[in-house]
Amino acid sequence: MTAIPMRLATEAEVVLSIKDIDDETLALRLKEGDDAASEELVKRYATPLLRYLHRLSGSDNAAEELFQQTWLSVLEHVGRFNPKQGGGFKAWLYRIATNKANDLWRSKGREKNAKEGLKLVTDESFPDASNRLNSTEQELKLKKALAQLPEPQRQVLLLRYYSELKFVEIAQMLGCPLNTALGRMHKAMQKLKAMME
Amino acid sequence: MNLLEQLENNEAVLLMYLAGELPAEDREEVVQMLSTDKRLRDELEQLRATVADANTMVGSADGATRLPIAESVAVRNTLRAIRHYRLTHPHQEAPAVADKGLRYPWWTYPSSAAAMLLLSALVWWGMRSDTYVEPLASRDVVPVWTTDVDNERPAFAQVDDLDRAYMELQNLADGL
Repeated sequence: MTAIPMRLATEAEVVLSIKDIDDETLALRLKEGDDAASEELVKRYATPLLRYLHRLSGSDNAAEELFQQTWLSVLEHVGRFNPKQGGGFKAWLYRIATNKANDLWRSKGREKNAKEGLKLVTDESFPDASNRLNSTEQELKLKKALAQLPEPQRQVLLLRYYSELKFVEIAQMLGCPLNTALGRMHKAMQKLKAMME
Repeated sequence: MNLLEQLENNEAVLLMYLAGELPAEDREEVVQMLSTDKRLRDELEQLRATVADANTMVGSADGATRLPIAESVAVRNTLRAIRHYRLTHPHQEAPAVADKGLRYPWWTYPSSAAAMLLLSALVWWGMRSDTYVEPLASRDVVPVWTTDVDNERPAFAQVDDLDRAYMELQNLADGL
């Protein structure tokens, strides 16, 4: 019988940094009320999610509000999160964010109808100071081009760019066939290119 | 059916190919198609340029623009909102999936089933044939006059006693 050489694991090997823990494990810890897990998850997705919501809503204030609403909704429904479902936590997070943006979109539409022609006071009509200072010509062009895209095409394009989810996962998330998601992506890119030129 | 067969047109196939989301077998098939079809190759190059342009447009616009709110501020505000939510919703957090759909407390369901069984048993016991009291007319009882003639009231006797009653009547008749 040959002796198996053994070595004790170093402390660095045993103790995983929270940054090395995958999203799904952090989500389970979030469910148990772990503050460090929630902080790590919020930080991990802060930039891409804020950008995504900003592009989707076209408004600074709405993006910030939607960002918070998304995380509160995550907290509220994390008990129902299934890590084995396609796309994992990231797909689930972006689905919630997209639904929140859709809710806002619908409520804005209702508000608009209710006011019957009264112009909504949004960032579009009165851009805030930071926006005015930082907006370049290209940014304004992109904002305008994105606003002209049909909502389903804009969603697929932005989801693909900011979430980096697979097309199969995006189709699953939006509840449409894969061919439809790919067709929307193709049309969105072509229109964007044409409008930006 | 493999994924390639599910894709409806060239754009869909090429988008999936460019994204690297085709399974190995399908990818190999597309490579073979590309090697023999010049028009498909041109289509791929056009699509590659469109994807790159879209990425550049969004990327450069993002690079030139600040986030709608500083990341640190967004994180801080959100964590504060999460803490507040936890304080104000201590029981609503993480609802168990198994409890979804139970309208009443779990113990009411077996209790109801037991009550139904008990009720059924009582009804069955009440309907049993040995405790069932038949109507008077269907019983083997016939009205006969008893020997107590002074009383002048009819009395009832069992069929078993009919012979004896008949004999007594005969004796009376003989006596008259």
